[in-house]
Amino acid sequence: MRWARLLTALLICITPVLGIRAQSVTPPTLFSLSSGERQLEEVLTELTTAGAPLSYRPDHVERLTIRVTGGTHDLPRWLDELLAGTGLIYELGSAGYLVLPDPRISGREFQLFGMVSDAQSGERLIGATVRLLDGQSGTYSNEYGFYTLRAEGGRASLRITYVGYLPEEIDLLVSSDSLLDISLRPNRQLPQVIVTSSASALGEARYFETGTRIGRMEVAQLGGPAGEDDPLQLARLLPGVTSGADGIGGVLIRGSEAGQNLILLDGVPVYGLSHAGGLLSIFSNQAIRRIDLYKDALPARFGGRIGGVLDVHTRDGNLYDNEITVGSSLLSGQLSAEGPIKTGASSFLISGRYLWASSLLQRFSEAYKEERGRSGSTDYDVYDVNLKLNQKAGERGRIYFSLYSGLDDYRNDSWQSRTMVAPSDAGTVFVYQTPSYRSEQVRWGNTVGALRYNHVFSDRTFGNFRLSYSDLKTSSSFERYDSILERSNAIYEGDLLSGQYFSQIRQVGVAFDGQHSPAPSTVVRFGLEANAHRFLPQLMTAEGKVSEYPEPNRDDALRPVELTAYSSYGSKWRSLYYRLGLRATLWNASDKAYFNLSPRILLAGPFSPTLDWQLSYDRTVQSVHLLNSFVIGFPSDLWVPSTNSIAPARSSQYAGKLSWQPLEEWVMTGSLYYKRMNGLVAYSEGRQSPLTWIDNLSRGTGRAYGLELMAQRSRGRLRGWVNYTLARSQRTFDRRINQGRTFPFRYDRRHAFNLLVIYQLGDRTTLTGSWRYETGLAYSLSVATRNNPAGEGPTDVPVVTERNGFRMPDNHRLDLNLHTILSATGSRFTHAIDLGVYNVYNRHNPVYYDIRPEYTVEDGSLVSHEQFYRIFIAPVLPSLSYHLTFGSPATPVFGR
Amino acid sequence: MRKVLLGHVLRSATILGLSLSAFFSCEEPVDLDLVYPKSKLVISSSFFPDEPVVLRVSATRPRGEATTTPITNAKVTLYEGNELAEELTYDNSKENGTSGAYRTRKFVPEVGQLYTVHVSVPGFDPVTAVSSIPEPVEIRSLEVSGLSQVETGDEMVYDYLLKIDYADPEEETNYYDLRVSQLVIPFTIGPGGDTLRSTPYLKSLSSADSPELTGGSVSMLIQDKGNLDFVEFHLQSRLDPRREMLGRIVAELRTVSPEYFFYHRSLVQPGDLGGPGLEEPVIYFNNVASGLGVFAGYNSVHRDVPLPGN
Repeated sequence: MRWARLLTALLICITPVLGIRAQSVTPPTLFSLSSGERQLEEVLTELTTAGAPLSYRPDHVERLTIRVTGGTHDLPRWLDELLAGTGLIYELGSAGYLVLPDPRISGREFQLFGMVSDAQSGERLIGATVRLLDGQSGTYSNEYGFYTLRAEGGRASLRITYVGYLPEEIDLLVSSDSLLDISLRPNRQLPQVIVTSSASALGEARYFETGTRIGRMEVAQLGGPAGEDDPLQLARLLPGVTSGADGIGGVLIRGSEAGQNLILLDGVPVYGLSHAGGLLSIFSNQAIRRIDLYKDALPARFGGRIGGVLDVHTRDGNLYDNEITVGSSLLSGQLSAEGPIKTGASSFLISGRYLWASSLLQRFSEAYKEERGRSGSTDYDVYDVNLKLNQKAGERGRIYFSLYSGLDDYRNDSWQSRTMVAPSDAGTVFVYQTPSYRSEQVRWGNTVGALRYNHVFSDRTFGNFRLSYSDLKTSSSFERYDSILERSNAIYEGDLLSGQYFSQIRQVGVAFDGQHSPAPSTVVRFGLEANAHRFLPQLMTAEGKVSEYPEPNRDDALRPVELTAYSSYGSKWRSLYYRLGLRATLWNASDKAYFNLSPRILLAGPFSPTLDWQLSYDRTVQSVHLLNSFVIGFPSDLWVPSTNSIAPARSSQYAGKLSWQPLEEWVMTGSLYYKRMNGLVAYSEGRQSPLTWIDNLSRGTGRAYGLELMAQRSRGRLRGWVNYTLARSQRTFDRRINQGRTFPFRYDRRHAFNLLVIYQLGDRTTLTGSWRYETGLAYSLSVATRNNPAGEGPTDVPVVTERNGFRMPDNHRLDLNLHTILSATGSRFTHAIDLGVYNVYNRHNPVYYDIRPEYTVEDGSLVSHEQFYRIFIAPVLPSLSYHLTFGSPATPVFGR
Repeated sequence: MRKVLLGHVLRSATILGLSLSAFFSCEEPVDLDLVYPKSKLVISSSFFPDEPVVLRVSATRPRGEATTTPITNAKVTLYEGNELAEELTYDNSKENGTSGAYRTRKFVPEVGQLYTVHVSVPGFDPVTAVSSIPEPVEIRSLEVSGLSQVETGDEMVYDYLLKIDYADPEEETNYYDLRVSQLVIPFTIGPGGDTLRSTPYLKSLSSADSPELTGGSVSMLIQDKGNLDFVEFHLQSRLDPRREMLGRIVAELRTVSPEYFFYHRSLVQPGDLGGPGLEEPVIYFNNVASGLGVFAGYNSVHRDVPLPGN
């Protein structure tokens, strides 16, 4: 075909010359063309047919569209007009005019760079793929939306794709290093669900995109408890990610503790992840753009924790239109507003959430407790607020300010007293009372702020400067006593026990992150960071009232400083893609400095067009330690820094992955990992002395390994995934924990199976079902007692011979959610409605077992026995949420 | 119709939301289908040079069952090296404070010997345990500094630092239980205005950083001497100035066997952080093969010092 066209063109070129010789007629000097948008090849053919002495190679001019003004001109004038901006020039030779590529750009390489953003809102798009259609080279936008791509001079076709957006193809002439900002239009038709890298979605960029993307659209479709959308609900359906029952305990990735995850909110570390002990995360779906979850192959820019990474990006706010969203779930009310401050140049986003149910909780809890023969109440207040501002700063810069603030304030009191009458054989009546009291107060709040400045330094270099602030304050206390009172003789026996925790961690930092692309398919990332910390951990326990405790001593604060530098080099050698990274950290406490190097290696490539492999090694270091005191990850957890007596924790992880894409919409992955952890820190067993708890912390090691299998269908009416994880996680501490013997990690889930199904019922409606199954928690449950070896206290004490030696029942749950969006054509109102069922078959997954003394009168005597209570989150519950958005009319593609 | 429906939805929503918000309020009594392990013998003995060996024997039992009574039909034998030292006899008398325990009648242990105890009881697996008594270590100095006194209500609070230095042998690993207690002299004022002193007794000490510490003395378990030149306690003595006078501060340095050290380090009250179900229980140190408990030797030296000005 190509040859036929070439032959035709040559004949066309030759024919006039032959005609000249044969007829000896004077050739025409003026030529007429009609106006309009036409193919260049067609126009040149018309000119040669009209007698223009013109020759060209058809492959140089094919598929080029030009605008013709129309009229009659001589040939040079027409060629000037027709070839402008095509990368072609003409020369006059002996045989007439010859059209050829411009030698000034042909064969040379130029750099295309710019930002990828949402065409409607102006939001920067992270991880959008930019590919040259003619070749294999491509790249993806970084976490600030910046991309840079090497292209040969001349005409080029770019294809830009991003999950949830219509693909964009751009034909352009590459004649110099060019700033090319790209806008993509959202595609709400069958949005693609997650989000592991695949060849069709990312091209060769998939070898470097090692995170898993969680978008707000999928989160909205999944729904959540009581209709509360939560990105972490979706994250927990991924292989290798788990938590306690129903989310309690935070997010645990590949056998690591919750406090070992790096959680970044717009690049700033967050120390408290949860509302309500982990039932809800602090990330409101209204404010979140996306979350990237990394389990292995960590880019060198991430550091400071030895677990996984949750890189959370908030939305910027619409640059072009105002939008207001109000809504409510069964738990909270939400309000968000966004819009331009100056259209196209600056915008704002503010969103807030308030747990409105809390205002009624007190009355409800009073009735609930009264039904169970107790008095007392529960109060719980929760709110969070997100603010984001951004301002264009010149042609190549943008300033962002983001702020998050949230608070949980929980108080629970419960008092119960039963009266029992026990007549003796002699007729004497003994009256017993068994008062029992529980009181807990927990208050914790995060404040996270960042001021960032992005700048495109050149066609190959991008930089981001950041000032950051992160603060977590927690205070909690409890009092409890169980007693027995023989009223007739005023004999009283009882134990009052109390504890108080106070913790503050504050981090103020300055950082620079840079990106440079020195060659095609090559990216260098580098950065510097300095953080000043302030820790104030306090722990007190006693057999007395909390009100008698002294105030926390502010002079005990610890103020370490951390300096970090990192660099990574990602490139390609033949079919081997690699990224080599190194992160250097200097942690300087007042009495000790620690210097650590953390190398990172990523190797990847294709076995075949549909089968990819990946190997990675990650070494990570963590200089801040989270001490968990309770099973439930209640924020009585204390953060403590590395000091002279506490070295940073370190971890090495080896991981491998195979990805197979048998069909366009299917991706199957299998991963293996082995992780070794050193320098872990935990409370020693038993009561913590207010004087010595920080000196008596136990040190240990851990290891985790596992296999993760996943099949994912990302397109079509039926989408989702199914995955299975086989894993083990163990800990070995010094003799102050489990007498030095190895024991299973609490969240050592041997088997985990997750199923997510999203079915597209209509253009705007999805039905989502999720089922999760996990091996039960490893738990230290006592099933026997012995005499108390201590000189005081109860006569008998529970016997636990093995830490976490008991397995709770398996944890499983089915949730359903119907998500629909309603909007009339051209209407400025959009309604999003979620209707679902949480815990469909009413599974009571235990968070923990409480053991309480209960008294009965048997044979005239008061007899005590212990009763196990299963504490669980919720029975089967309907869930409902509604959000109304008032803003720009729905886009033409909406719901198509 | 719309109002009724909306009201119903809101009411339902409120109830449902609240039930979820009260996230630790969902509870139900359960009978766990547990397989109770076979009962094991529990022995307990800390022995001291030149004193009879005293040992208590009991057994574990399933949770919820009545408190066990001591086991009185055990056969308890003590070996020094490979030689039988003595069979311990059950002591039911109330004269020497060892009621309900097994004790040697003639044999007393010595420093540096290895002792093995064997206990067998019908219906239980027999158990054995091994330990020895280490050499004593001298207290070099005992010093009180930074004394201040404050009157709060009816109490006089003496606040001070107590520094203790001891001759820890550097070439070997040693374990210590350092105990500090406060002697108090009770007194009354006679009709003629005379101060009548009674027999001194030990009174609880407390720490300035803690509202209350349990026990009559402050105890610290130490491995070697750490990196310190001396060990320091920040202490408070609380006296009723109308009835009590300060006596001497008494320090007891116990040089203990590893069994003693690790057992006592694990010997803290379980279930005292947050309540049952939430805390990590203590896994008690155990050097009893096939059973539970401890059989451990220790040595001891004392030294005392008055508070300055008293």
